[in-house]
Amino acid sequence: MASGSETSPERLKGVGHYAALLYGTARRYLGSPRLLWDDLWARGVRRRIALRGYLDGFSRTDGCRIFHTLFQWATLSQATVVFVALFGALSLVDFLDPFGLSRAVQGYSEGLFQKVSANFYGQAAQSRIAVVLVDERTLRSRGESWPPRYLFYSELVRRIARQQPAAIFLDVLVEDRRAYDETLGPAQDELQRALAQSGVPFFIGTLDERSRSVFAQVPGVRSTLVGWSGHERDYPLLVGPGHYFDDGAAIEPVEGGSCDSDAQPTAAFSLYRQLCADGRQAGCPAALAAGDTAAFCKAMVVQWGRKVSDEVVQRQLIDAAQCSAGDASTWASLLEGARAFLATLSLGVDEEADGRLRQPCPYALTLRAEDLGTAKASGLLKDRVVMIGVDLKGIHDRVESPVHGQIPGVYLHAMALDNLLEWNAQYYQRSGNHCLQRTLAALVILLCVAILRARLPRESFLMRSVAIGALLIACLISYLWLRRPPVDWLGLLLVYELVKRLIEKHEAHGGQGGEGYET
Amino acid sequence: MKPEKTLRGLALLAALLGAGLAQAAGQSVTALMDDSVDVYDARADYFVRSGSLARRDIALPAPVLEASPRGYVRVALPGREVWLDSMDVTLYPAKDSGSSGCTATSKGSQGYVSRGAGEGCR
Repeated sequence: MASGSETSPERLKGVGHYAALLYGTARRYLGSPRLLWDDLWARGVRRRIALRGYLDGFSRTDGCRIFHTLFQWATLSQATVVFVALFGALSLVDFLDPFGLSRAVQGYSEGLFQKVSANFYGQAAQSRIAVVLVDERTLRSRGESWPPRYLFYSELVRRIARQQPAAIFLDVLVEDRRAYDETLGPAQDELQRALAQSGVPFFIGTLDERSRSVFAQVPGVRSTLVGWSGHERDYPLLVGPGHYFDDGAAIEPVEGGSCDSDAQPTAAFSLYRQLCADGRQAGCPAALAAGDTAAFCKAMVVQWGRKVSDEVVQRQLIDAAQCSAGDASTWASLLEGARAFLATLSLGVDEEADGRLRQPCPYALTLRAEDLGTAKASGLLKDRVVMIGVDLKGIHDRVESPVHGQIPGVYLHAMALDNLLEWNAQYYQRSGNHCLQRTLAALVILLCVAILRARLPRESFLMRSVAIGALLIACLISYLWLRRPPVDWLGLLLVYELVKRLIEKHEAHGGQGGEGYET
Repeated sequence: MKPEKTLRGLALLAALLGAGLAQAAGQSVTALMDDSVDVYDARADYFVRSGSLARRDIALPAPVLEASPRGYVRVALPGREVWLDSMDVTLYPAKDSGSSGCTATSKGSQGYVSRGAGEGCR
């Protein structure tokens, strides 16, 4: 070891080296300050010449040479090696998912993409859904506490039903029979009466097929699933045995969904099916009327919208200081999209960027329960699907929206229903095959190998441009045309950089050995 | 503290407290939404439906004697007083609109959170 350090120079410098360098520089400039200016000037000139040389390199880039190299056997052969090595490594990473990194990066890629794409989410179905929120203020204004009396729910449903909505959904599990609350009987009677009089379809949340809600047996009440397991961030439309909320221990995450005959509909799908049956929704699959739910087997990758409902602005339902109601024009969407893109780029250096990007107002039109009788709310719920949800501290019913941050769980059901009304059976699904991803990767590798073999002056820049351009195209095709979540662009970019560095390192070693890249 | 200031403060407080009562007292039921209207009995902290009244049995406008924060109004009919659901009738002047606001979202961590009903322990 000692003899090695004596014969070869150290690859890493120590403190002594830098201290001597600093001392020498200080002595030089303190002795003759004019030298500082001369050195800076000389350095500037060298930089300018280097930049000019770099830019000149582009003019010397011969596209025909790339094209010529592209169709050579050696290019195809070398690209095949890189492709196999890359996908071998990627498949291994996907399979092993060390530290859960692959899944985390995929989720993060999707989240960042949605922050931008949410600005372009349409508002066609926004006027057909409303959320009635029960929060601390609602309870305080009525002198109630949580849980409220059973009559609170039937009273709320009765008052909403008076506005003739298309359907009502209660996203609360009312399952406990409380001995101290004597209003259960009157509440059941009142609910039955309100539903019979109004004829409004009413759904109540449950966690499995057994429907343990205290209102489940009331005529006119239908149960629907509001919880499940094994679908990670996706929203299943049908949940079968093994994926019920309490079946968690036996579940592996599933891609797609289950469609066995025992599958129960979740809230958004129940409401969608009701709207189809009532003739309130155009474009419903004809088979759905016959009970065929095959088109809805796969879980939904919920797309969140950012724009606030026009009705909210017109009726001044929100405090202008709280929410950016925004302009719904295409230009405004483009500007907001660009702003979101720049903000996501700077997330690493600007921790507040995420907060500024967050939309503080939910996408679905929201009304607090205590405001139902006010002039502002008059006629607002007519022909809408009304979802009743809670926003209470200590009630753990919140979901993560890439656009809003943490938001009451009822908004996930509202957004999933909005997606169904917008796209029917063509909602966003997670695709099982990665054909597009692989084809595009193969093309990128082929192009990059051709660029490397053509030995062009600015090959690093060209290769990076090809990779980023291909990823952008893949994301857009996937998102706009195939209705799939974007490819894992962040993970692919990281893998690309890694592979590129490995190739460059290999090439450098080859060059030193005198064999070059082409061997 | 000067006595005039204390008196002025008390007067302001009295005015604020009286405003709520004055609103209910100043309101009237001017119309019914349907041909008949349900009437309710006030219990300890809730209301239960006790029957219904036909439109002809209610002389309109009927002054509101009391407004409950639970959304019911008490009106006087010949010989008795009844509670009506404020959404079954038209009130004049209308109830003040609350600020619905939309503060439902919050900046949260990226940690796993519940879906609809909350993920339980495994």
